[in-house]
Amino acid sequence: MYNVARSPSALQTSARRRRTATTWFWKGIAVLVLSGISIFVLFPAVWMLSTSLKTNAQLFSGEVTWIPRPAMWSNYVKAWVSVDFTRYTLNTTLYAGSVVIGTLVSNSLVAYGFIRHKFWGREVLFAILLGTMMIPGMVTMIPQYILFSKLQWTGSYLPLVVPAFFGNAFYAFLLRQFFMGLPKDLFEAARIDGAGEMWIWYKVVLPLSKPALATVALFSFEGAWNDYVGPVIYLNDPNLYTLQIGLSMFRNTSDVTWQFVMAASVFIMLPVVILFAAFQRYFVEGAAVSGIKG
Amino acid sequence: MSKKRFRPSRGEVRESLISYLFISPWLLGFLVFVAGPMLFTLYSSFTNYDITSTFDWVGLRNYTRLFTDRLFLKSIYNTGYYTVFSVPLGIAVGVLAAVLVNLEIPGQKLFRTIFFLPRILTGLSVLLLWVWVFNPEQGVINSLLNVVGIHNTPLWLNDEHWSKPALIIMSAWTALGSVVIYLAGLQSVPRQLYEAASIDGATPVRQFLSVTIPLLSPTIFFKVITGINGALQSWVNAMVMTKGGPSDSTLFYGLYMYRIAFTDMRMGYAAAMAWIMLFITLIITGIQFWGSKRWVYYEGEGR
Amino acid sequence: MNWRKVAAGIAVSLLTVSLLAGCGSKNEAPKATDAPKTTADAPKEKIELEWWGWWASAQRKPTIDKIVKDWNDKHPDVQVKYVYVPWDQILTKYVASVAAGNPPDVCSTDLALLPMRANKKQAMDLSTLGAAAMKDEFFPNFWNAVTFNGKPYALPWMGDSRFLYYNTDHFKEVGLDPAKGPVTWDDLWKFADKLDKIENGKIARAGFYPLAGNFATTANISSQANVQGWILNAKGTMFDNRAFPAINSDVTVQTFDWVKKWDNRYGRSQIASFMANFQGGAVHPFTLGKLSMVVETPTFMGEALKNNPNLKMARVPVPTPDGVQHPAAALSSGFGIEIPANSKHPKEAFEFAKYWATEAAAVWTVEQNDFPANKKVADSIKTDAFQAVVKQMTNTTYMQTPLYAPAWADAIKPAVDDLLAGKKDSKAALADAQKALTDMVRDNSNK
Repeated sequence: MYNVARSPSALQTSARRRRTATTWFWKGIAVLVLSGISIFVLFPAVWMLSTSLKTNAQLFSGEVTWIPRPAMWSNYVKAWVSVDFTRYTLNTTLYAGSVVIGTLVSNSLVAYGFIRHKFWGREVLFAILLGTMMIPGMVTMIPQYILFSKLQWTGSYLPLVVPAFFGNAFYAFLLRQFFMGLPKDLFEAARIDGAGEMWIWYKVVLPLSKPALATVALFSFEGAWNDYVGPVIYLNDPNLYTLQIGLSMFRNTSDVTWQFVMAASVFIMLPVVILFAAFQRYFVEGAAVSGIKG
Repeated sequence: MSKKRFRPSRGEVRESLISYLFISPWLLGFLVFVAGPMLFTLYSSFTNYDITSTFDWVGLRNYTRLFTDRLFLKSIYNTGYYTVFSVPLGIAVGVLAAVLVNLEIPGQKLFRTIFFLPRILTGLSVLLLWVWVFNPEQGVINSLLNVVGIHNTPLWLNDEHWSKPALIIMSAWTALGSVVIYLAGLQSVPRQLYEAASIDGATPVRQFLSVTIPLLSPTIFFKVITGINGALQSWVNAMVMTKGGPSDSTLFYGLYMYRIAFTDMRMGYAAAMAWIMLFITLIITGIQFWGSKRWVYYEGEGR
Repeated sequence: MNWRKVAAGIAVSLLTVSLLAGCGSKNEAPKATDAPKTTADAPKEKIELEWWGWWASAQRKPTIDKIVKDWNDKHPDVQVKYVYVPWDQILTKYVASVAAGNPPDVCSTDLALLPMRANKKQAMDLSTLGAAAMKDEFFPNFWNAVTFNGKPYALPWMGDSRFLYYNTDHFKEVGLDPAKGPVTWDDLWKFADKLDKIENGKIARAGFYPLAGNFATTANISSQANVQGWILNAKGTMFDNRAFPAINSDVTVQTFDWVKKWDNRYGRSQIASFMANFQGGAVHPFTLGKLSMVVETPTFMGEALKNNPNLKMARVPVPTPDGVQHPAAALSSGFGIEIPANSKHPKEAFEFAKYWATEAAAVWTVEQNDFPANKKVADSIKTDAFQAVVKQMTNTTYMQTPLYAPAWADAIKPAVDDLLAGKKDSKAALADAQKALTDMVRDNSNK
């Protein structure tokens, strides 16, 4: 690969040029592969969009049309007004927003607690933490409902929001993995300088973990946004209902109006997609660690 | 874990207390909201609890009955099959997709958003869409197979031998949505390492194997554990798409448990199933943790 | 260390939480408020009843609102508040709330699992409130549906039946008399001989397929469960005395053989692909003109014509093996209204339940094109189409879900799958189903 006869600097230049050409070649392949996979990824979304724009007649023609003509954008308007989606959007936004705050704060604290120093019972408690996500929720659902009923929290958002402020196995574990990848020397350096643990947590750990935190925020938001059984079981007042409950209203026992179900599904999905697209840079902010790694 | 010293130093006690303080939100929440219901279900697994009318102690009857329950054993097989294939496939797909989407290529932001979609395209409508995808006559999969020249296409969800593979393929699509988690992990891989490797003449593939994977291993490990956990408990897909059929080939553990709990109302029996699942998962997870010492590399722990 | 920021963040979160909680508890309907004394009579407590139902679509909701408003106008001291709960979760939520002690005052339900709810003390025995006197107001099969151990635990509200629908255009096209639908099982076969259209080995149009359509009780819809209707239609039974599995009788074996014959007629993979085209309920093969004859509910005609106005169809009672109609030639699903066992205002709830099953049922039947379980209401609607359904009631049975096998359909479906896949013949498949049902009954009846 290397031509021995060339001078050292020319060697580096041509090697660099070769690297660039190779890189561009691989990049081209990557774009092609990604585009191919993207089609595979997108088709359910495209089909949803396409169905949402159909008329009743088109739905029942039995033919497979990807681009309905005419495109009934009015289905979206009809879907929005036939159910109280404005209120449900407000409710769901508040609900999901609170869950995100609680999840971020509690789980980053808990994860840091588990990794910062060995302590008595650490392994056992961590095992119990993981254990809480290993028990199928359907059997704990009724006892939990009875518990919340005794606390008189049923009929409100409390059973859905408050537990989010008290940690969650999935997110605590995710953050724990990420935190363990952070250089411990930084913590030590800060401690030597006399910093308290909360300061380290807030000023060292969190800023370095933006991608992981962004992921936790996004996933917990999406989880609450799309939560169906929880709100159904705990909410009794239609004024408090969420978007997913609103979506269920399109499903009669016999006659499902698919174009409206799809239209509603699309605009329920949109905010989450927009959030991700808008905040993408947080997901890919590199851990700007300089001078420590060697 | 270090041996308990007879007299821990004051520094150690202080450190332990601080750690406890940090995990106290979880501890508190666990004691108040989770421990009670969990212990209740454990107790009810030894009873004939049916929520509203019976709650008598029956000892180990539920557990012994489970081991002769043909459907229970079938559900373990179905779930195991599904987990064994869907988890590795999902991780391979996720990691590769994340690496691709992390490259500095034109359209990177767009691709990232597109790949995120499977994560949020959940719910009844999407599952029914997938039923259509696997449609033997008009569905996308068989149409593609026809194009490539394969005409004896399987009946997918209507055939007991192809129903699980169909669900596994669908899980690969959903796994693409986990790209976001890997992306976060990829960010902590310092660029210098790649540059150093390529100066040494390493091909992208070699870089991938020697740099990316080891530094991504904490995230991969996370996905292994949560992926196994999720696959073992997966049932909504079967409930909506195949209702457990054909011939109980997609009767997953969770689906059978749901039927016992909410149609038969045999909550005690369902609780026994739940706790067995918990222990199976704990054991598998424990093995993974033990094995992780060999291949998971935490930069922070130093090596 | 910016403690202020941390504290502010926590304060904001707590504020949000309490706001949401406050919204929740503020809007929680007070169960009883004292009305101010306006007259010298004894003060009447204004009671608000919480009523759960699953209707919220643009099609159904207006009728509900009207019914609730009518009641509220006439009963200022007993107000009803309707709460929508999605259909797929309403039973779960109902049971959870009964267990927790805060149930609704009255709840609409599907009657399929009523025996279980009665047995497990979830539904209230309505004979204590005087419901037994209403027995003769309702069609006998629907009254049976709400009865457990001789006592009513719900009031029947809507029911239905099944008809055999056929496409008259297709009949004309192949030379069949469009005014004469099939009467026997043989007719179905012979008519289908003419109606089938197979092109390139694929089914372009099927004349008939017994597992298409809806011939099972609502809670168990799936194509395999449709054998339920055919077994009853052939005068077979699945359970002895409604409790003990007795499914491997000669009649059921013959019915399974018959279903298998139809499957073989088209070819397993062809008919599976054909049926798969319509899964998910998005489209119906009959509406699309791909199926010429099908068994469906009374409301099907309206729905099909709405989705495909060019359809020309007619209906007849469901054909039986020998052509003679009998009380189990068709089956019905049932919906009713229940009062939870620990409801706080049973007397008032019962008044509303009565209203719902009678006057409200009349309004609903007309506006929603449904079929009432109440005979008087049924008789008051004089259209031909409606009276045809009334006549059909004598040939309609209601199969109450056996107390110890609520998931019976889950034992039947694999048997049908095995039969159709060719893994087992009818006798073997039914023997397995019998065993599965017996296990189920034993497990559920174990104290």
